[in-house]
Amino acid sequence: MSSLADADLVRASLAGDRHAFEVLVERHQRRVYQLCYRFVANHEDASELAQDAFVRAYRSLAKFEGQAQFSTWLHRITVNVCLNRLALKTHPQAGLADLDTAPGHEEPADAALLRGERAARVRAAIAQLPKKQRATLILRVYHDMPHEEIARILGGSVNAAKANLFHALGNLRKRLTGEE
Amino acid sequence: MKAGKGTMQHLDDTQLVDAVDGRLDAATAAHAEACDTCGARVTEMREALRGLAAVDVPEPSPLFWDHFPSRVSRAIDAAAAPQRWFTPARLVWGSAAALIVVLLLLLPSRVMSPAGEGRQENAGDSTSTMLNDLEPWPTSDDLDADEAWALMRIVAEDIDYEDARQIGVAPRAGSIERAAMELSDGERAELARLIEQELKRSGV
Repeated sequence: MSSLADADLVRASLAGDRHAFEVLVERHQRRVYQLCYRFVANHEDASELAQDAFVRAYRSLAKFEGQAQFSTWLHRITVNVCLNRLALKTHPQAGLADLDTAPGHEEPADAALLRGERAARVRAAIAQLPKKQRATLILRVYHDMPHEEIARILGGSVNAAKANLFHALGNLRKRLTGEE
Repeated sequence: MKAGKGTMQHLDDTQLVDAVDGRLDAATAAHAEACDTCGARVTEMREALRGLAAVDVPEPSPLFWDHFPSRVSRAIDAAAAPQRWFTPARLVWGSAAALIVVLLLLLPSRVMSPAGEGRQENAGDSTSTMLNDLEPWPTSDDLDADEAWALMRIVAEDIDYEDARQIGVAPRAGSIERAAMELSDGERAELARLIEQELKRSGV
């Protein structure tokens, strides 16, 4: 079954084969989880959001018409689940202040650890961007999504999507350099 | 391009993004190449994007991946039956959700406008004008603490946006929140009361 195409697995799932849907989950779980993690910057919320995205996808399978790729369709659902959650939970769990380290002050010598700390600060800074800027940045930078598709998912013009990316970069720079 | 010093035209926000993507038309690209200011901004953006791209998501435990599909399966089982759209509970829940869709229909100018993030004035829309005259808008924090809003959100979670689009409503992510922010405290409480009434009617 694991060799079947996504569309075949969708058909099997719709016919009641739950294992087929589990194969779809196995196939896409990492990418869905990573997308969710980019939004919330912590494992607990990301895993919960990823689960919600798959449950919602399962419940909407009958509406997957096969015109787009399953992965694209699943992406849209995941983004909507994340944005809906952000509407409820406006303050991310991880904050910049929690992760901030005073430069040169008990700084770990290990370069990998430093890189890890910097990455954590960047992820937290992304998680604090306004919703649309965050979504645009994540979809563009980490999922290589065209501006046109981002505009379609988030609602708005292509130019608005580009402007969101521009402002997201500016805001990130401010947050990471402490200009704010 | 926007006017810069003298006759110089600098790239605007979207053109800078196009420049990063290598999608400028020939004339604008020529400017970007010749202009130190624009060139520096494009380089800065490219470097920022490269730096961001290098930031990975921490890998969860392998056990997490092993168990995740069965966790999803359990969640599916725990949720309402996936494709039984016409169970009585679904219909009642659906009627409560329909109230939210009505809210979206009543507040079209702000909720569905691409520029609807903020307080967009619309002089020709009597509903919006009327609502503008009501109580001050709640802040996000107010909304978080608002029980009526919490109930609306729970029901709104079950709205099928594809179905909504088919009846001519085009809500986007965050539309419900924006719609709720259009309402006064009293109006949100009344909407919540109607939703609760719908849910109680069949004991959902």
